[in-house]
Amino acid sequence: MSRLTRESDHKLVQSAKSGSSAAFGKLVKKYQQKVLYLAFDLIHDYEDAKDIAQEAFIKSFEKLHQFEERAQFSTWLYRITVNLAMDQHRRRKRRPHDSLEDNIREIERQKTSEQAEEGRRSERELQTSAQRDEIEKALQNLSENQRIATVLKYFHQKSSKEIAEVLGCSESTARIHLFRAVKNMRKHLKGIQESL
Amino acid sequence: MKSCPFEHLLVSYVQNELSADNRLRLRNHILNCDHCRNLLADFTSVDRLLQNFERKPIPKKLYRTYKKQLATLYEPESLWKNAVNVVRRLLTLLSSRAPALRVARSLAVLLIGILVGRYFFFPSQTPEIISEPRTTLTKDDIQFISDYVVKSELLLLTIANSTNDEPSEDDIFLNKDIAQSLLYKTAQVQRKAHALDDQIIITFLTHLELVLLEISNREDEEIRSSFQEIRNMVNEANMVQKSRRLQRRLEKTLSENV
Ligand SMILES: [Zn+2]
Repeated sequence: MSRLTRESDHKLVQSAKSGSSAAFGKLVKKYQQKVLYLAFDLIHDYEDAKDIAQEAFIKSFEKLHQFEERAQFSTWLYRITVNLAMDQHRRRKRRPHDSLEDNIREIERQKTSEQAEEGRRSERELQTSAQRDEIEKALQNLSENQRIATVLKYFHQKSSKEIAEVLGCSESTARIHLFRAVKNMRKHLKGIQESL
Repeated sequence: MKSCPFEHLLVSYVQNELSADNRLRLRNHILNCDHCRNLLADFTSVDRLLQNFERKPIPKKLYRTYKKQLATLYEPESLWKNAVNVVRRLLTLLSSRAPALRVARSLAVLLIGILVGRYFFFPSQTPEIISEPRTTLTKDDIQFISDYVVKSELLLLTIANSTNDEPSEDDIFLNKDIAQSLLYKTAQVQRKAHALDDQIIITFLTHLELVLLEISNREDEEIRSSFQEIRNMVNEANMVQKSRRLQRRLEKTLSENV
């Protein structure tokens, strides 16, 4: 993240804390897409992801006065999002019908509705779509912390330090999560690498 | 297979997150440890797969509802209820080209011009570089950056070349689609550009991200009304020319690599 972004975030947070809803609006606009993707990356359901992302912004709005800026605003917001997503994930696990298979079925369903779009894509991109499904499945098999670390690292370009801040652990623990995640995914993904 | 006490460092090694000292030490170890050598090969390919992973874009309709609902958080409710009407009235006013409004508009454009100018001419505020030591980029990586820059030129051209005050419906959708797909890849390209350590690319990408954010975060009506700001931003920073110059540089890098 650029120094410029961080500085402007700091200013926006300060203004928002002193009551500027326009400043908070700018923060929302800046991160709304990223937060929604993060929620989706973690729970693989668009509607739920939307609710979680909204909830994350509401929470950040309510708790902004408690935010001491020891971490960057985006890291703090990501932490809120991750916690909400994990709560939801655990709740869903307890419901017997909302299983991993349902998620996969949901992904399949979305795939058919996107077939028209797929038709326009090049062969190379279609190949990545098969890859994508495999990667998604491999991600689902990871433990909670491993999945969060991987999603933050690869889909949100966070450093181990930032991952540690989001997870509330040390940097070396964050690296261990990533190590285990990659080690586990390697077994799952070995097949598709060979087929490529 | 047995494990090795150093194996947990391999992922950080692949991701360039080790200090120079540790990196060197681990490299020497890998040369003598079959177990780590095999793991490293696997980790590198998983790392590459994940780095190039592209997720499905979020359905547009859902994203639009989401943004609207979020807007109620920071826009006073009464204002929000009237927003649609206000925009509609503004649009009719704009298209009637009332002189007073055009003056106000020019003033706003001037102000934005000054702000944009200040942003672009701020010296030495370069993005932070995390990766150290640097990776060497593969041909694919450079191709990836190159594709991105070529696509950006298409977007910048449609913006810079449009002579109307307001873009046509087609332009809006075209621009928004391209902007969103580019924005989605921005972080990935930025990472690769950092590895390339090319300040010109890094600066260009920072400016481009700003333009992309402007376009893709706006509702269609808003793009129409703020189109001139966006165009000024593109023109004042000479972004089309910069995109072309970059493409030539990247082509050169590619041909040198072959
Ligand atoms: Zn070893």
